[in-house]
Amino acid sequence: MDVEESISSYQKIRVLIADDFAMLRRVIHMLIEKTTDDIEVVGEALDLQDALKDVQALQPDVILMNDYLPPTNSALATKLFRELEVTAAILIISMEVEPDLIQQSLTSGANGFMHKDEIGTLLVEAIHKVHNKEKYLSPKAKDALTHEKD
Amino acid sequence: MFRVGLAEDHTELRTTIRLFLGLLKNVEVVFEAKNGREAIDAVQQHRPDVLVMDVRMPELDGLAAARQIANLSLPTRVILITSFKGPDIVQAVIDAGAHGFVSKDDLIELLPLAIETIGQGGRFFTKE
Repeated sequence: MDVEESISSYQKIRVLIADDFAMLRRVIHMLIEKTTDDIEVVGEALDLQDALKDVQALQPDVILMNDYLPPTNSALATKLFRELEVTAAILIISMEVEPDLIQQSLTSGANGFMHKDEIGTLLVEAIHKVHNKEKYLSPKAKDALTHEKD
Repeated sequence: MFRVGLAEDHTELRTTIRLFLGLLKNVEVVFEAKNGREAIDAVQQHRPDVLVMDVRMPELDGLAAARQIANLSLPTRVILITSFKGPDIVQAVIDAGAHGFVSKDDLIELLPLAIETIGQGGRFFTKE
C-alpha cells in the first residue's frame, strides 16, 4: 500500500454490521462496496457477544445494528455499548418502525434509526449523517414518531 | 434487462432478496408477493420474464402456484427457492413445471446466474 492509498484507506468510514441474518449482512456489505468509496465494512457480527468482541478489536466508526441482536434488543445493546464507553455512532436498522423502540434506542444512545426497506436508497446517506454526529431518522422512522404524537 | 417478480412470505428475506437483486445491472424487480395467490395475480398483471418464488408459503404454496402459472401459457418462467434439501424437492419442482431451483443457502452465489439462464430460455437445477 502506497502513501496515497494508506491515507485514503485511513479516511474511510469504518462500519461494523451487526445483524443475526447472515444473508442481509452479506447484501449490505455488497451494497456498500458497490455504491460508495468512502465507507468500508470492517466486520460482521451475528450477535451481541460477537459485536462486543469486534468493536474492541476493530474500533469501527459506525455500528449498523439490527433491532434485535441476540440475546437482546437494540436499545439494551446500545445502552451496554455506551456504558462500556464505545464512542462509535450507532445506526439501528429494523423491519419494524415501532415508536417505543425508536425512542428507547435514541434515549440509550443510538444516533439513528431506519427501516430495512429504506436501506437500498438511504443507507449511505444515513451512515454519513451519524458519522458526522448528526441524529438520523429515516422517513419511515419519522413518520412512525409523528403518528405516535397524533 | 430481465423483469423479475418476487414471491416470498418471509418479509425480511423478501426485503433482502429485493435489495440483492437491486444490485444487479440486468435485473428489475417489477413486483413482490407474499403468497402463491398474490404471485399468480401479479404474474398475470405484470408478465415478468422470471418469477422467483418460495416453495413454502401460506394460502397457496409455490409448487401449486407454479403449476397454475404453467397452465396460463404466459412467457413468465419460474425459479423456485427453498430451504428444503434432497432429491425429492428437485423432482417436485420439475413436476410443478418450474424452470429452475435454487437452495436458499445459495441465493447470493447462484440466483443471478439462475435468473440469466432461465431468462434466456434455459433451465437451472442445482444438485441437492
